[in-house]
Amino acid sequence: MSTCCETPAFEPPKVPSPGAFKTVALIGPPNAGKSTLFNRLTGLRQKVANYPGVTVEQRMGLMAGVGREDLTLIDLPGIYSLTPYSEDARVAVDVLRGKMPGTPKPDAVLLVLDSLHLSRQLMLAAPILSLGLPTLVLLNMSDLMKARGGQVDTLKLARELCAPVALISATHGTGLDAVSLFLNQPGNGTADHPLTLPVLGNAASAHIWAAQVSRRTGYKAPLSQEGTRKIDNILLHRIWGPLLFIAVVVGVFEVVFSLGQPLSDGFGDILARMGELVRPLLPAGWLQSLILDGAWKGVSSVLVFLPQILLLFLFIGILEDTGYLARAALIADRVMRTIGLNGKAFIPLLSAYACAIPAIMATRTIENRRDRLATILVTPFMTCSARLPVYLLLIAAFIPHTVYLHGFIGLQTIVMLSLYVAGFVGAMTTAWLLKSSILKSSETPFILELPQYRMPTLRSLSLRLVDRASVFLRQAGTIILSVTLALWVLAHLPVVHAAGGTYTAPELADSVIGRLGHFIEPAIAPLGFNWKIGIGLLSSVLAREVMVSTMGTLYGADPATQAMHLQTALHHDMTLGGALALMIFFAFAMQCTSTMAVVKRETNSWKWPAVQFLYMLALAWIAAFVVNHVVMAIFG
Amino acid sequence: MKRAEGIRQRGSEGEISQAGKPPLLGGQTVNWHDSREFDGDVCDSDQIGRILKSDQSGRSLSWNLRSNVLPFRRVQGVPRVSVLSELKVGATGILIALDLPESVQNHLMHMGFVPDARVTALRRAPAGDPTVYGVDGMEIALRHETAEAIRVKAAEPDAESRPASQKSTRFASPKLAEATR
Repeated sequence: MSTCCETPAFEPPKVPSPGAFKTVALIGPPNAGKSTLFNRLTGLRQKVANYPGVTVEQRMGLMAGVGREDLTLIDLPGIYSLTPYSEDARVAVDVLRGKMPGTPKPDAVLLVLDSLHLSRQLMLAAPILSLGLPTLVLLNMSDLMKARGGQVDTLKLARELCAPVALISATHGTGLDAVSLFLNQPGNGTADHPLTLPVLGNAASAHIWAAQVSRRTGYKAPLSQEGTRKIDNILLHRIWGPLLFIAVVVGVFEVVFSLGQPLSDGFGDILARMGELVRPLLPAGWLQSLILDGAWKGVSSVLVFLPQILLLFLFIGILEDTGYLARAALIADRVMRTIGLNGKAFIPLLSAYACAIPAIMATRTIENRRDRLATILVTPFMTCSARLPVYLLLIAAFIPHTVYLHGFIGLQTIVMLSLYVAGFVGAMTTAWLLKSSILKSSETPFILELPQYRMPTLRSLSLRLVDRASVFLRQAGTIILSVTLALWVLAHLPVVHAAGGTYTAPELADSVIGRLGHFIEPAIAPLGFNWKIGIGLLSSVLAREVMVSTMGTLYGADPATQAMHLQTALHHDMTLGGALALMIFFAFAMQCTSTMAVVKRETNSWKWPAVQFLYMLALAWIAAFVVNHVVMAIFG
Repeated sequence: MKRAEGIRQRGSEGEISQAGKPPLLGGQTVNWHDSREFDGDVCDSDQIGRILKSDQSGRSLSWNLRSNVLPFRRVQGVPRVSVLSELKVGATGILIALDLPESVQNHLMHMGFVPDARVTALRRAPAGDPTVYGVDGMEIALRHETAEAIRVKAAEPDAESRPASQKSTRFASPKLAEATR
């Protein structure tokens, strides 16, 4: 989906503040809670989750959350030191040093440390303090630390670091007045003796220094992780671990169908009734046809899938916020190494189940450049949520509602799962081909930090869903609406001069869109697609879900199918072979201009998106051809 | 790499053969500090002179002083020295040295894998590899071949409560501190 991941244009404040600071940077180790704090301080909604490497680029916002709209806050990816190891860390270090074009050099720093692991996290304090910028040290998750019996003397720590220190909890928004205090009174450090720092760039000395500081400040590490270890005893168990992983995945799709389908049907009925309510208000004629049969039918045919997409996002959100995602990467490492990648590449691939664009950005955490390129190239194979409307529509129209194992799993779920598996196998095979030919490289070490499990908060989950819904609605209101309107117009041109001096619309097959469809039909006929599907495929290059709205508009414009539900219309107009071939085509083809744009940006050339598009198109065509002919041979 | 693995595994505990890798310190000049890192205030390093037991790349020099053994020249017959990948699940070792490419080593050290750190093998992934190690209260997963390049010795039970940093303070030397200026 195109709009989900673009950073909104940022405008720096027009009136610079009279104080010393203009730009403040958030910096800290990975998964310390910087983005959560960023959201608190700015009121924005940067993505947060419980695994290292969620933020991979700088993001700016005004500090409206603490009433300082004149200050710019920069959220940065997590770093372990000022010597960057991966692309996301390089971004953070460059911004911090003022070497990132388009981003102002920060003149104050909020150093966010996870108070649960303070003695390790303090290692980063040394290089950050040595930058010489005014620094406020924020010990995040202090509520958890205290609840688990940890403690630290912040006053002593402030004296050790020559910088103010505050205990905060970004999740609950406590202790944030320290931030506004720091911003309002720049330059009042607590320095009463020279700051002593270890040799910079030397991890061993930084480690010793951090251990000493935390000991001198009476830091008592909280009782750790008993819960996490117990959960891992099950989730990473030799047998139960992988089994549970599969059970969770199957369960998610079963719920998307068994619970989501009635929700979507109900929602669809409401949308259709809304259209009928408006009908008497409009004058009969071309305007009514444009608005109701064109725009509304097209847009609402995509909108009905909103409940099911939100359900999928709820599950992805739970997996990400609890900290399970990193464990999944750990389990997958063994598989990933056989194809030449490592388990870290699995995290972007998993998040591509939501949308390929943030997933391609997330590959910045992969250190090896060739591994990263291979991961970028295979990411669009993962079944993103934009394919979901197409799959759901076709499955509901063509796959009978049969259940097996006493209602435990349905045939529809099985078809759905096989499509997801097909995409995954496509990704893995392609990655293996790439890694054993043009992107061959020596194995890079797999180093992955496992976060502690955390209970996802209702607030963060509901924010995700609200954001997702608004992205979906915006998409429906912009791209889908305009494509639908354009299609309706093209379906009604050229006007025919009818008897009696009136102008009427042409037969659908004689319209501009019909002629275009018939022109490309020879290329897709072997796949079992008719010309309407062909137009749908053309329009879905913009974004995959446009396919559904195009179908809605085209079948709505055809008098023969106008009165039918889209499902019924498709069922009458396509063979089973064609429908299955269409699904497999969507599983493999790269139909998303936004993904191509982001691949171009991340690889710095048009070569890779072009190669990727042609390769995936060819693969999709061949797979659809085979599926169509095999299915027709069996069932036809 | 395959061949090297075989050789290493054949060696019994405490007797690790060189396995085709040149000693990392051989012929390498030791820079006392990296000037790129000194953008801001230079700290007063006299007060924590003991930090100088390591050079800028993070390699421990205290090993020279303590045992007359260069950290990366593997001496046969040093007792109870093993590699991290040989730690049994639940066992704890004290890290001696890392034998990895510069950037990887630096990254791992910033994650807590520094000399004298106590590392516990917590669990193996369902497929038997990677293994999750506990260091500094964090859980970090490493593959077998990475863990194999990290040398550890068995943790002494009496050292359990003593923080690692206290052990080497006596090697602080004003002369070395002078050299950093």
